[in-house]
Amino acid sequence: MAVFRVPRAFAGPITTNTALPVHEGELIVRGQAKFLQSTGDGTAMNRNLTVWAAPTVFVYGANEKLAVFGIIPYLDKRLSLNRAGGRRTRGDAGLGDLSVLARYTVGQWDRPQETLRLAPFVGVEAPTGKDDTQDSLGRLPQPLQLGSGSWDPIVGTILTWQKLAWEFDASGSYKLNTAANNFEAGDVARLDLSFQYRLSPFTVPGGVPAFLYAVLESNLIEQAKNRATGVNDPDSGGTSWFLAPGLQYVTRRWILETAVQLPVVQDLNGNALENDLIVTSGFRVIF
Amino acid sequence: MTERQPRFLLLAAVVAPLLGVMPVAAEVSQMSVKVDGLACPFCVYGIEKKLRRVDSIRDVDVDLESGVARIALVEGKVPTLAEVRSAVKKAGFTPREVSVTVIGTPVIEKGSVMLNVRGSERTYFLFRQGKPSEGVPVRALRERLLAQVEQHALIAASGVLRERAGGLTGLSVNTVEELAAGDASSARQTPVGD
Repeated sequence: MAVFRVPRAFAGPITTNTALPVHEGELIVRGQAKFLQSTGDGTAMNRNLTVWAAPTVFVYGANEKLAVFGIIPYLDKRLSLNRAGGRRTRGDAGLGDLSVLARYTVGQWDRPQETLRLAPFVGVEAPTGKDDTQDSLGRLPQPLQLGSGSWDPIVGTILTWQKLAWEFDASGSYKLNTAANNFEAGDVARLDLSFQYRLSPFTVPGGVPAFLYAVLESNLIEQAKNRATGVNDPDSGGTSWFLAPGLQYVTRRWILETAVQLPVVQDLNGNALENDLIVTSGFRVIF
Repeated sequence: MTERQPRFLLLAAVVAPLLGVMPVAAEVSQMSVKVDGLACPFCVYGIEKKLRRVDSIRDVDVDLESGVARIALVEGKVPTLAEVRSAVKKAGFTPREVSVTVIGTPVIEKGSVMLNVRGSERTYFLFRQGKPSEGVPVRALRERLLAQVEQHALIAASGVLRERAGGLTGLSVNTVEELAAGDASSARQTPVGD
C-alpha cells in the first residue's frame, strides 16, 4: 500500500520550497487543506484510499538568514477494501507527526527587482502522532497510522530566482525514514520545481499592488520499499512524477493559493496504490 | 556625521512653545532608500516593519516597480545611515543608495565644507556626486559652497548619503538650491557640474 506522507506545507510556492527571506522577528502562519485520492486498485481488495490533511505551518525568522519551521498536520486517513466478510473501512483521524526544520541562506545575490537565493535546510519529523491505533480487525497497518513512531531526519537545499514578472524555485530533499513498531517506511528523495508567472497586473503600477500568479509545479518523488519485520514489502515504493497547475494571489500581508497535483508517471512497485490526484488549497498570513 | 549634545534643542522644544515659538523641525526631507532583491508584494511588509521600528522613522511607502522605499520622518528626528541600512538588511534585502534632501547652513570645519542640518545636530560632509575625494570636493562645487558659507546662506542640498572615513556621513551632492533667509519662493536651484 502506498505510504501517504504529509506533503510539504512550508513552501513559498504551493507544493515546493522557496528560499525567499523571512525577516528577523517575522512570523508567518500557513494553513492548507489537502485532499488525496487513490482508486483503481486492480487487485481483489479493490482498495480506495482517501486522505484529508490540514497542515498548519509556523515560520519564524530568527534572523534575516535563518528561518525555523514547525509543521503540525491534522490527518484523516480512510482505506476501504474488500475482506472476507465484506467491505471494510479502516483509518483514523487526528494530529500527525510534528516536523521541525531550519533553513539558512548561504547565497544571496540581489539586484534591482531581482533576487537569487540558495538555502539548505535540515530538520526532523518527530513521533508525536498516534502510532498504535486499533480497530476491530486489530492494529491498523503502519501506513494508516497518524504517526510513524520514528524520528525521521530530512535534509535538502533550495534555489530561488525571483523577478517582478516571475519566480522559479528548485528544491532537492532526502528524508531518511527510520524504524519503529517493526516497520520502516522507505526513504524518500524528491526533486521539486516551481514556476510562477505574474498574470496581473500586466505592468506594475506604483505602490504595492496585489499579484495574481499562474503556477506550474513539478514533483519527482522516488521512494524506497517499506520494510516490515525486516522484510521488504514488494507492494511499496517506486517513482512518481506529478505536474501541478495552480493559481496564487499575493498581497503585502496574505496569500491565497490552490493547485492540483496530477500524476504523469507512477512507476510503483507491485500492487502499490497509485494516486488519482492531490488537491491543495491554502493561505498564508504574515505578522 | 558629528554628534552634538541635543540638550539645548530639548530645552528649546520645551520652552519655545511657552513663548509662542515653535521649534524648527529637522530639515531632512524626502529620504528614500533603494532596495535590491525586492520582487514581490509579500516581501514588502518586512521592509516596512523594520524601517518603522527605527525611532526616527514615522512611516514607509514602498514602490515595487522602482524598488524604492520612501521614508517619512518623525518631526525633529533623523535616522543615521547605518540605521536605515541595517533595517533593510534585517528584512532580508540589500540596501543601496539612501537619498535625502537636506536644508541647512554650510560651514567650514577642518578645511572641509560641512552642512549643519537645520533643527538637528546632524552634520554632513558635502562632496561631489560619485567622487568622494578625501575632504576636497570638486572645485566648482567647493567654490559655490564657499560663497554660501560667506553669505551664511540657507541651502537645500539633494544627494546620496555615503559612509566616510572617520565615522563621518557624507552627502554626495546632486543639486544645491540656495534659499534666501529661509524664503523658498526666491530659491535658485543650481545643478552640480563642472
